Amino acid sequence: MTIESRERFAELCRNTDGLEADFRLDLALLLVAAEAHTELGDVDVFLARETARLDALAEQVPAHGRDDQRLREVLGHFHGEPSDYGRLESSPLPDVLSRRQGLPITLSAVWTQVAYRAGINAYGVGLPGHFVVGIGDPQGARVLVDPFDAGKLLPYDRAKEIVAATGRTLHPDHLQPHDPIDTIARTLGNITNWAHTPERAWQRLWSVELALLLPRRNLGLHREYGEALIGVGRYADASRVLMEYADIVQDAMPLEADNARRTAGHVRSRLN
Amino acid sequence: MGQNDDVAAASRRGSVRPAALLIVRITPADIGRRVTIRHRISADAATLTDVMGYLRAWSDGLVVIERHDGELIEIAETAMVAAKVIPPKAVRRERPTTSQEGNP
Repeated sequence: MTIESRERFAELCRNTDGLEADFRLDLALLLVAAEAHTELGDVDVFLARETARLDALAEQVPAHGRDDQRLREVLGHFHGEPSDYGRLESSPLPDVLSRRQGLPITLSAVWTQVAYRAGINAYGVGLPGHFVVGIGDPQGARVLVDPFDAGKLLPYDRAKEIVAATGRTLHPDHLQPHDPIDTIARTLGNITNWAHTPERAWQRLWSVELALLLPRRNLGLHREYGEALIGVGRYADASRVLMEYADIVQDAMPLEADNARRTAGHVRSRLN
Repeated sequence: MGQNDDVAAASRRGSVRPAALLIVRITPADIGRRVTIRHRISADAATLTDVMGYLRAWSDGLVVIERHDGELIEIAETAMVAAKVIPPKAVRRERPTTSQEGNP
């Protein structure tokens, strides 16, 4: 949204050792949300206000009981609906905190961020096809909860079924703590996918621009960036980005490179 | 045999399937595998019950099983009278609930 919020986002995402426990996923996701909320004003005030909401939730977590029950006591009224997959408000953290509803990945971030504040060991689990939360020791005694399903326990065999539905097989690595950079990339990818219609061109553009600030990204993102620039009518920039992309993938994917150059040519012809 | 003598007595009374072999056949190396554990649930050695699920942890004399409903069950190592690895549940390929084709 502002140069400042983007710089802070990039800075935050550069400094990570891959562990969500050592990373301010809450701040990173709020800086993503800052893009969607053009009216938000001062970034520091916004971050302080939104993190205070997570603090307030953590204060309500009961002191005793099983860890998953303690969190469910406070977060059990957060959930998701199938319709959430079609709305932008299901992704940004502040909207999900207000609506108590959203996509699995953002709901999971609410759980883990409240858990840290309450001193409970929890971590995001990025299953193929779903996103849930592990509570306990990732190498040993832990339970899985499904924030999209009001934080109900997710049995291991159920997790296997979810993964099997995507045509894959559950691997022990799937149940390990999700790298927060991947969590952000997946959140941004959801927004990019949501924004694949002409009237959402600017949301598509900022979601790709933020993804490009992450320390890791796949090559296809450059092509996505070129197409997002076409969407907002920045033809000269789009042509340049697509030509750069073509050079990068030339050796590995010559047909894709040709295709990108052709698109770049069409785009240039639209310049007056 | 020690502890198993009590169990043998229980077996004669009919509270345990007599054919069951009362041997603990699992070790910490089986963590992650699906197991069934027959264990004492009270000081009265005759009261036995079975827990089935995935072996999640085994330390400090405590065995932790993740049951079919996702709950963790802790069993004292000394309460186990029999245990073995069992095959994993077959996975249904179809998913009956809400569609979540996209990235969540």
